[in-house]
Amino acid sequence: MREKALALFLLALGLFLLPLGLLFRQAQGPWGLPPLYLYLYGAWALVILLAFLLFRRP
Amino acid sequence: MSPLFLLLSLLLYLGLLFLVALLGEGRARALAQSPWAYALSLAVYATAWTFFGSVGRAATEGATFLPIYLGPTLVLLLWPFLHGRLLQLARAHRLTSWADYLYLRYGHPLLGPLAAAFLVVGLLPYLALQLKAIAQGFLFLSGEEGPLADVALLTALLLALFTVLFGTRRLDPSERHQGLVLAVAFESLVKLLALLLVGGLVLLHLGNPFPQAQGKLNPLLLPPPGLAGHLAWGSLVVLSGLAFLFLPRQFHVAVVENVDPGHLRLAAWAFPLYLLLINLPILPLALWGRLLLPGENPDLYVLALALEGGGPLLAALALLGGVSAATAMVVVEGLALSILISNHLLSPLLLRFRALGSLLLWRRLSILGVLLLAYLYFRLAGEAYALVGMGLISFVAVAQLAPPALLGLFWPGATRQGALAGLLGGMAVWAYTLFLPALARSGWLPLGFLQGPHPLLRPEGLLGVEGLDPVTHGFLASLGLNLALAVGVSLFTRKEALPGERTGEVAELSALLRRVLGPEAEEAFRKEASSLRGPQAAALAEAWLSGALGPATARLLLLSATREVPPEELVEEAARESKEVRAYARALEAARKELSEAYERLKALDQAKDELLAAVSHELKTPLTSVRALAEILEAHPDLPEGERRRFTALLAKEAARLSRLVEEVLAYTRLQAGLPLRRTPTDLRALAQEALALAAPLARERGVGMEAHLEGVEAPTDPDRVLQVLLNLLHNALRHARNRVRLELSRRGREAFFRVQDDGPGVAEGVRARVFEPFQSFSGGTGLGLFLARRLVEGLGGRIWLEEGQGGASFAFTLPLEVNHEDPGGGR
Repeated sequence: MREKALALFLLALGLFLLPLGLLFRQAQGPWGLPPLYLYLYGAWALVILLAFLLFRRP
Repeated sequence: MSPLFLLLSLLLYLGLLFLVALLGEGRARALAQSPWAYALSLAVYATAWTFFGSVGRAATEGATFLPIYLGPTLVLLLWPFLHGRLLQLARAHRLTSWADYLYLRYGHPLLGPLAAAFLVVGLLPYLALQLKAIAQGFLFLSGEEGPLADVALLTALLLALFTVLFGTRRLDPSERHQGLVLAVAFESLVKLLALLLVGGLVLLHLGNPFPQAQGKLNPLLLPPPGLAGHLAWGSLVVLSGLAFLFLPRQFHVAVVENVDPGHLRLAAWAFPLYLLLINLPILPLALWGRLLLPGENPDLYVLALALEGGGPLLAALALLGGVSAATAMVVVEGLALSILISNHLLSPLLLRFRALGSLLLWRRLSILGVLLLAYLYFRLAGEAYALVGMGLISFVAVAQLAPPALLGLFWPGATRQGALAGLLGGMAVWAYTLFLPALARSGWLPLGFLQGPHPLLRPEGLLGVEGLDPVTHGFLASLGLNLALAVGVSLFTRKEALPGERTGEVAELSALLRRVLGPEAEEAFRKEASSLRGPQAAALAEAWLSGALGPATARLLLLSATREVPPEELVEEAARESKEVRAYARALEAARKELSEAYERLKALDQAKDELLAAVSHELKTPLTSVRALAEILEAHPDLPEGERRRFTALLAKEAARLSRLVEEVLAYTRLQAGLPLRRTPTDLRALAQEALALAAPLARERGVGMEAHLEGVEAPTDPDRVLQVLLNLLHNALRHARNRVRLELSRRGREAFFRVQDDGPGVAEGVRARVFEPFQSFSGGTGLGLFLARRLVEGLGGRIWLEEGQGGASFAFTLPLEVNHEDPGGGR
C-alpha cells in the first residue's frame, strides 16, 4: 500500500503543479465555466476518488 | 443589525460549544473517538482565513487561494510515511509537539525552547487574523464604525476562557481532550454548512456569475501569469503542505489527539473532500463580490453578499460560520502553543525554582498571554494586511521546522549542529524578509527599511531577485538557507551520541510521578510498569513526564530517580566476569567439599588408627599372657612329667607363632598405610597361584582339606609379592573354614584377571557379610586383619575384591587389571 500511496502522491503532485499558465489561456470553457477551475477541481476530485479507493479498506 | 442581537447570538453559539465539549467528555465520548470526528477535527486547518480570507484572495488574485488546500491534500496522501511514523514516535515518547520531537531526535537543549519561542512569535499574525476576522465581521454587521480593537480584545478574552476550560482541566500526561475534539469537529461542520448555505443561497438569488465575469474579471479566471506566477503557485502548494504538517494545532489534532492510527485511512480522503467542498463557493462569491460590491473590503464579501442575497439571518449565520472557524483555530492553537510554552520554556524555569506544582496555572496563564500577544500584534500590524497575507507570514514561519524535522525523520546523518544552524538561519531570514517588512508597512518601523542597507540586501528582493511576491520570496529564501545549512553543517559535523538510556526502580519512579503528576498517575504507572524491566520502566516514566512537562524537564527530573544504563559492552563484560566468578565459586565450593571429605577421612583414619592400636594391644596381650603363664609354669615346676612339659612347650610354640603372625600382619598393615610404592613387573599369575597353593598345602594337609585348582595362563603387570600375600590370606581363611575342600580358580575376563577362592564351609552369616572386609572383624579366631589387608592390597593394585553370594560355603573373588595406564602409588589410601 505504501507504494500505491507514493504513486498517488506523485500523480497528484504532477496534476497540481502542471505549468497551468501554458495550458489554460482561455477564461471561458464548457458551460461558460473557466477551464482552469474545471481542471483544478476535476483533478482534485480525481485524486480524492483514488485515495478513497486506495484507503477505504484496511 | 442590532449589536445586542449579534452579541447574544455569539454568546449562545459559545454556550452551544460548551455543551458539545461537555458531551464529548461524557456521554458522547465514543463519538469523539470515531474516525469521522478525527477527520473533521483536522479541518481546524480551515480558519477564518478560509471562511473570509479565501474569498478576499480569490477576488484580488484569482486562483491562488486554491494551493493553500492542495498542499494538505498532497501531505495526507503520504500518511503511511509521515503520520504513521510520527504516531508511533508520539505514542512511545508521549510527544506533544514538533519541538518535543526535535529535542528527542537531536538532544540539543536549545532546539526545543528555540522552536517553541519561534512558533509563538511566528503564529501571532495567524492568531491576530482570527481576532481581526471576528471583530471585523461583528462591526460590519452591527453597522458600528469602531473601534475594531475593542471587539477583538473581548473576543480574545472569551476564547482564552474557553480554551482554559476545555484544554487545561488537568495536567494529563496523555494530553487528550475528547470534549475539545468533538467541539472542533462540530465547528468544522458548522463552518462548512454555513459557507455552502451562503454560497448556495447567493447563487440562487443572484444567479451564475461567470457570464458577467467574462471579460471584466478575466485575470481572476486565468492562471497566475509567467514564471513568477508558476513559481508562486508551486511555492504555495509546498508551503501549505508543510504548514499543514508543522502547524502546532495540526500536530495536536492529528497526532496528540489521535486515538487510533487506523483513523488516518478515512482522513486521507475525507479531509481533502472537506476542503474541496468548502472551496466550491469561494470563486462564485468572489466574482459576485467584485461585480456587485467593488468598493467593499474583499475579506467581507461573504458577509456582505449574505446580507445582499439572503438578508440579516443568513448574514448572522455567515458570521457564526466565520466565528466557528476562528474559535476552533484559536482554541486549539492557543492550547498547542501553551503546551509548547509550558513544556519548553516554563517547566525548566519552574523546576529550577522548585515550583513545578504550579505548572497547570502557568499553562492557563500562558494561554491568556498568547491571546493577548496576538491581540497586541493585531493592534500593531493587523490593520495593514489582508487576512491571507497575515496567515501566509505564519505559514512560512512554521515551515522553518521542516528541514530539521524531516531530515531527522529520514536521514540518520542529520546532526544537532546542522539542525540548529538551519533553524537559526531560516528564522533570521524569515524575520528579515517577512516579519519586519510587515511591521514596516504598518508604520512601526521606518518605510526605508524596505529598501535595505544595500540593493542586494533588500528584504523583499534578496540578491537582486525581482518579480516574486514577498511571501514566495521569503519562503524560498528562508527555507533554502535553512535546508542548505541543515544539510551542509550536518555533513561537516560529527553526530554526537544522544544521552544514554536510564534505568531505575519502579518504586522510586512511582514516587516521582506521584510528586509531579499526582496519585492517579502513580497508580496507573505502577500497574503498567509492574512487568517491565528497569530501563523500560524508566523510559515509560520519562514518556509520561515528558507529555506533561516537556522532554527536557522530564529528563532532568529522572536524573534524581534513575541511574545510567551501562554501555552494552560493559554489560557483556560484567556478565562474562560474573560467569567466571560463578564458575570460580563453584570450583571453590567443590574444593571445599573435597577438603571437608578429606578431613572427615583423616579423622576416620585417625580414629581407626587409635582403634587399631587398641585392638592390636588387645590381640597381642592374649598370646603374650599365655606365653608368660606357660613360661612361669615351666620355670616353677622343673619336675613336671615329660609328657606334660611337651604339651606346655607345644602350647608355648603355638602362641609364639600366633604372636609372630600377628606382628607380621600388623607390619604389613603399617606398610600399606605408609603407602610404599608398587613394584609392577610382568607376572605369570598362574605360576603365582601355583606357588600360593604350594605354600598353603601344609596347612591343608594338617586340616585334612583337599585343594583343587583351575588355572588359566594369564600374565599381568603387577606386584607379585602383594598378589601372593592376598592369595595366601584368602587360602588360609578358606582352609580355616573348609570342611573337605578348597578351590582356587584363575581366568581371564575381558581386560582383567579373575581369581576365586571357594570353600565348602558354613559360609558367611548374612548379618556379618557387610563387615568381613573391615579390620579386626575376626569370626574364626584369626587376627581379623587378613581380609582387610587383602582388600587394601587388591585395591592398591587397581583391582576389586568382593564376597560372592549364592554359593555354597564362602566364595571370595578378586580381579587384577591386565593393563596399567598410569602409575598408581598403591598402598591404599
